[in-house]
Amino acid sequence: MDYDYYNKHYLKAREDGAIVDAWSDGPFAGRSTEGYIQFGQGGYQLRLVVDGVQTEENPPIFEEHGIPIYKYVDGEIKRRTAEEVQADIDRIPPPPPSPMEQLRADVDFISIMANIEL
Amino acid sequence: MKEYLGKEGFRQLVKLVRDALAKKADKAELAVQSNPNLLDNWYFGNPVNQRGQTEYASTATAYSIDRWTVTRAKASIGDSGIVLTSTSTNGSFSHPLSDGVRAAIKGQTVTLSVLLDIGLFSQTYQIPKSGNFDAPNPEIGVSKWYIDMFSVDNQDHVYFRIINTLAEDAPITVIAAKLELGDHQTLAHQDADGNWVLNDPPPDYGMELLKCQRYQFVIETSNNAYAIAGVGAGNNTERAVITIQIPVKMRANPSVSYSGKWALTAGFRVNDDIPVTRIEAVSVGNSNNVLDIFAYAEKDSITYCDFYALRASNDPTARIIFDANL
Repeated sequence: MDYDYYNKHYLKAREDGAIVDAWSDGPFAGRSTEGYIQFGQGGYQLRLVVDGVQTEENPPIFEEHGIPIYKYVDGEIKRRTAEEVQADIDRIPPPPPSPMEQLRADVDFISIMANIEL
Repeated sequence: MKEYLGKEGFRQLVKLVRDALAKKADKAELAVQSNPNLLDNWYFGNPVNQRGQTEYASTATAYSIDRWTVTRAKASIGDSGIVLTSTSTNGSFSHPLSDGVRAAIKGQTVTLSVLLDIGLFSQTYQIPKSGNFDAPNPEIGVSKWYIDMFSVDNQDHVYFRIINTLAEDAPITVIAAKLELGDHQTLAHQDADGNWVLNDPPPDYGMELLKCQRYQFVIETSNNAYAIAGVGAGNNTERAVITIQIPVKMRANPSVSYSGKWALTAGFRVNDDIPVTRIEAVSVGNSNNVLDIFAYAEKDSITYCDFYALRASNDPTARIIFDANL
């Protein structure tokens, strides 16, 4: 009897190979695979094989800044180097001022223009 | 007595007594100790059903009621149990065993049993100590339905299964199922009128729900169109990290899927809703009490470090599914 056990695993990579999405069609049956590569098959939940070692189920693929941890190169998944990750972090634009910060800046500007000591 | 009968004679006497006890257990002529059921969500008279559908049908393997999958079959929730219908050859209703149960049964004698509306069926099987197996599968009385167990990947994955080998639309109603250590079934017995009754009362629903929520946790709005799922803060200008309280630590990092309309709100006024475009797991592992998710919105619509609540956006059907199923 056939078992229907194996699920297909997909990933999406940027032009530089950084993996920006990965999923198993177990929990996501029927999801569109457009733009995705089927890189393997296995259990119901996603696992990656990174440098020959299998990860936990549904492993993190981003670090705390939202930067990809892995890359897909020549059909293999590898960990991105610290330099590659830092380069992405350095490209994150600073956040815009919050409304309170903007308000404070406006008050400071007005006080200077009006020569008022706050 | 051992000296009188000799070792072989004593062994045969013990076997006779055990066989007699097993038969009497079926008819409740003796009080029989019920063995623990190694399956989760085994009582289908009131099953845990977090996904909330009344019927599940799939050609590929898909989860239905908690902990059970359907493959080329349909499972409908009936008044007294699950009504199974095979929609193609080898339609099945399966239960992947937990890691702890797989380890406990390796090399052991187990008994599989199902209580249908037409009677009880069981089989005893010796699980091999290693290697894959596909237990012999006795017919359970109706139109090529069988119960069996099988494994893949050298017993890394083991399944209890109710399967129909033909593409026959011959529904069966399953009231309960049991997998237990030992060489006889303790799922049910016949009363004086010949009716099958469960040896144990139906399980506590709350406890079964908690067990199932290690594998799957569903946030539903329960018809509250603005129900709040969790709170958090802006992580950048298009995303907030939202913390979700969970009742029990999940088996593994869950995958996250959602349906319906969700929004981020800082002011709790309807007009403040920022539509959510995507929800993803924050894959930093799961703790005992909380899970974190990313809720995305349109670019520059989120204020970095501001507090937000994730809530249903006037959608009483909105839900989020955390899936850590096997």
